[in-house]
Amino acid sequence: MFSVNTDLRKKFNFKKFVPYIFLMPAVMLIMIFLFYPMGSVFYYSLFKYNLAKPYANGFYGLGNFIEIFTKDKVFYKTLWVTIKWVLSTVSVQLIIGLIISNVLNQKLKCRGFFRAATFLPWAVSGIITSMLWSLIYNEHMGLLNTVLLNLGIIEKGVAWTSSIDTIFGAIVVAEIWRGFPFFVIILLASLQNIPESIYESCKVDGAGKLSTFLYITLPHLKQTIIFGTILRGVWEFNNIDVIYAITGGGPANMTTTLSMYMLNQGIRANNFGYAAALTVIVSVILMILIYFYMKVMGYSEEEM
Amino acid sequence: MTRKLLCLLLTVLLVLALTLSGCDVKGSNQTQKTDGTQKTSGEEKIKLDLWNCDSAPMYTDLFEEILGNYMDENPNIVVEYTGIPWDTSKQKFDTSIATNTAPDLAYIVHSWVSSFAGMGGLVPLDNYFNNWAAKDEYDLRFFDLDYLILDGVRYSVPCEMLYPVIWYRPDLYAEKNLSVPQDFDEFFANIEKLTDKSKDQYGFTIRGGGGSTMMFEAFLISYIGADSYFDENGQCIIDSPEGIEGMKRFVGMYNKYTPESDITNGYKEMVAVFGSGTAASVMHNLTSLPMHKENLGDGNFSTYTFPKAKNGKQVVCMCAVAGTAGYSIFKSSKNPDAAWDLIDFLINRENNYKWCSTLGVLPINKGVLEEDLFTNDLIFRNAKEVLENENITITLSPLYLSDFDAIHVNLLEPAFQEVLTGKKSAEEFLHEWAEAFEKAEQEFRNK
Amino acid sequence: MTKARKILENIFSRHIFLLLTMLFVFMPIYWALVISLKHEKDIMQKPVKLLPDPATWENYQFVWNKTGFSKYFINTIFVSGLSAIVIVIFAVLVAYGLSRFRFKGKKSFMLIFLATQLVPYNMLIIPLFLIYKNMGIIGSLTTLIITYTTVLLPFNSVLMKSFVDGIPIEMEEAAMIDGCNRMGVIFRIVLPILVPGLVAIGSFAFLSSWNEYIFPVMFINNKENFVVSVGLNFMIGQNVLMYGPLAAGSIIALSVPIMIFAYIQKFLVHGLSAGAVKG
Repeated sequence: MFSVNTDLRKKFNFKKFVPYIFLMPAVMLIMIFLFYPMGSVFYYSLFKYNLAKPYANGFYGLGNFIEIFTKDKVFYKTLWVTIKWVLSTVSVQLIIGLIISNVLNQKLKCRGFFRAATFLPWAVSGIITSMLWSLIYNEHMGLLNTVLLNLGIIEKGVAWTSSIDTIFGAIVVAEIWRGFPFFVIILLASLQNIPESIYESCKVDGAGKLSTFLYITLPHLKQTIIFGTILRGVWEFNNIDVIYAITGGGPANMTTTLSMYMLNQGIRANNFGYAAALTVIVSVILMILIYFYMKVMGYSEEEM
Repeated sequence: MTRKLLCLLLTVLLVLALTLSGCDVKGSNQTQKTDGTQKTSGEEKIKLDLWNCDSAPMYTDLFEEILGNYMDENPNIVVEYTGIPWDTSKQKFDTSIATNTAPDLAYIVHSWVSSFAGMGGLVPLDNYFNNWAAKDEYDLRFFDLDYLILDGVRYSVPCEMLYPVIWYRPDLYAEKNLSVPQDFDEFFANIEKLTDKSKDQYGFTIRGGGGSTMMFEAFLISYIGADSYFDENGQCIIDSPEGIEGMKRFVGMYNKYTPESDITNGYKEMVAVFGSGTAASVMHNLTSLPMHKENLGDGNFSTYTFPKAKNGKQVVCMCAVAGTAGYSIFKSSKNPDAAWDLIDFLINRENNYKWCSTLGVLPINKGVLEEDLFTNDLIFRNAKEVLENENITITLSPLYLSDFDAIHVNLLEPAFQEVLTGKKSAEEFLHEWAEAFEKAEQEFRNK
Repeated sequence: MTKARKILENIFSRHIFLLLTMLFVFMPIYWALVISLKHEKDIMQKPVKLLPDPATWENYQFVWNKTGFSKYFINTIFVSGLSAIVIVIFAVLVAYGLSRFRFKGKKSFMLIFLATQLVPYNMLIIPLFLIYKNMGIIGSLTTLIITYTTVLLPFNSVLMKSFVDGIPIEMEEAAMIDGCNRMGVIFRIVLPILVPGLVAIGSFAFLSSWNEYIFPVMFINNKENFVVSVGLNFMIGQNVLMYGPLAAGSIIALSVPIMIFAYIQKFLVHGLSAGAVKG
């Protein structure tokens, strides 16, 4: 703390509370409007609570959880799909984000335009993105097939969203379109903190472009990358509008993630207690994963 | 320092308080009195909230006109119409019932009635129905359906009626000298003849995505020729030998006489396949009429119903996606009497006609069938003939089962896709289905 | 390196990536534009035309006039704008608190922030609805402002913290030696330097609020108060999907975010480098 004034002894107690005062409004807001609802959902996970079958509802203890872990095959399938989904989308978004942010960091003509254009997909809302991409992928009148046919690359329209080989790649590409601007933005902002002088001295020492990137740029970006991948990973875990509109989770639950399964249970099947239990499991999994990820990567929040 | 800090705190708290107290410029319409009335220019008017489970613009004009006429005739009533976007519609209704903020009445899909009634959200309509003066004007067959009357209590009244049809391209059929099939063998043979994969032309398109099995039920029941889903012993007839045979033939069409992308096609993709001319026929109900009109133009498409099954019966199956839809009054309403009065107005002959002719559905008011539309327009004429045909049996899907939605969404739709890709056999699929239905039926009967 | 090789390297390293990125980014937007200008019956036609021919404005007219889009536009600007302001105020408080003080519970505070992201928001609708109902504000746009603030605060505060970190502490210390108290320091030293950061965060918050869908649909019943994302979904019915108006509506809905992004992109970069004044 800044020990500037020495006659603070009478205000000593008060000064201790100052940081808490700064944080109080935000904490209050989150407590009331997020934690309390979350608590209520966790509470319902202990009940058998089907909205349409009130005669069967009641306290169930850990029954929902036991059912999920022992009787539910779809749960494990969706868990696997979700892991695949999160890993593939986040990693590709990160890589593209790294490359593009470096390119946009250099002096270019019309740099402003390119930057604004790159951020564009993030400005488009989720529903529109999914509608657009499902139209593009359409086997008969989709843009992709039309262009590829015209260019002679393929002979017959490919069923991008139905064929087992292409379906996962198709939704990943659509999600990457929407998500990579996030990384570009935070990485670009971070890159500004690396002073020009370091690059100058590297050049003088004769380091090539690749080694400059690997040994100077990347370490500076490390904290941002960790922060970004955690945030984005959690977001991808929970977000389903792209998958929902393009494949609906099919075929045969091949592209159903845990969140989508949870929503299907809670809303279409009216099985709210079961869905709440799934929510609890999702939160616990995420917390564990984040904890280990941060430990492994040596994340220190001081340097964020 | 303390003073300035306090100032900052106060500002923050003020912002909080302002937002918490609901002080906003645009939202002032929400200050309706809690007794269901609205004070307008000094007099007390009754205010009714009417929700539509679908927000498509074609409903908006229709409702505006009809409701405008109602408010002219009843100057002491104000009706406010709100369309809810379809994809979050069920969730919104569920939330509103759970939080007691449901509208006075709403136009809903009838497969939701059993779950809304189960939640205790609907007002029983027996009193109103029994004392209804205009009862005889209506086709009462569709008022007494088993998914509208649960435990002897009536929860909804229909305003329209649908059944599955096959939309087809008469021009494409004529090219190959094919006519409307008289039995299922001809049905499948036609589709085979209409397919030419090299030209990206197919005879049929299957709905393999959302709503697939709910639609597929219609085909299966027609193929079996069943007049009920359960036989005298409570066994479900879906996995009977005829059912297995029918399913095998249907699924056998996939990727041979139908496009490969069918497997994830939801409603909109399916209509697009037909509308772009890729498929010569598609199974749906009359409500896709406006879309076909847009895509193909009037006169370039027509309908036929499923032909006779092997046992000689011609069956039309009213399923979850091709059945009735109508109005219900919600428990949280402060003016159920006024709401019923409005419903009576909405389904009277004049308005039911406007409704049906715009949306492409069949009327519930018998008088509407006398209108010229049903003699002059091909599609409507076909539909009327089926309604009046004594030899056609109408079979109802068991929408009263509270697990109906859950079974279809969680079990059947993914499994259907597995059968399409060959990962599961038709027998296994149908056995699982029959078991699930039987279990739900048991639960329902023994409640 | 020879000059020729340098030029080649330049072209390949920067411009190819840029070109590919631009193609990737613009392809769906171009397609939305094309669809919005086609007649409804032409959209489904095979063979697919890559340019609208004939082109028509009817989709734009339809979506603007018939579905109340004009009203929704104003509502959305109001809600997003107010949310952005509130978020910025809260974020500055949190960021300053986190950046300038060392205190117990900092780590748990960060964990709290992270925990808010762990639950999909769809599941929180009913409890939140009940809270708002008990507060008596359900159905008004205030519910959206509160929800957006709560939901967007964690990410934006952390981002704001990195802006605040970039402002050297020495400046504040010097001011305090000269007799300025903490509040004075904030208002007279920190905030003026932070302006680019405030603008950047405000724009982020505005954009995120602009595209929210599930909360407006669930909390608002009065169609006077609907927002743009809800209005767009009107085109997607149970049995009817109007591609033309949907595309037209999307393009209209895109206009405001595009303008904002074009404006903030230089602040975003500027904001951080402004704070990086060393020595």
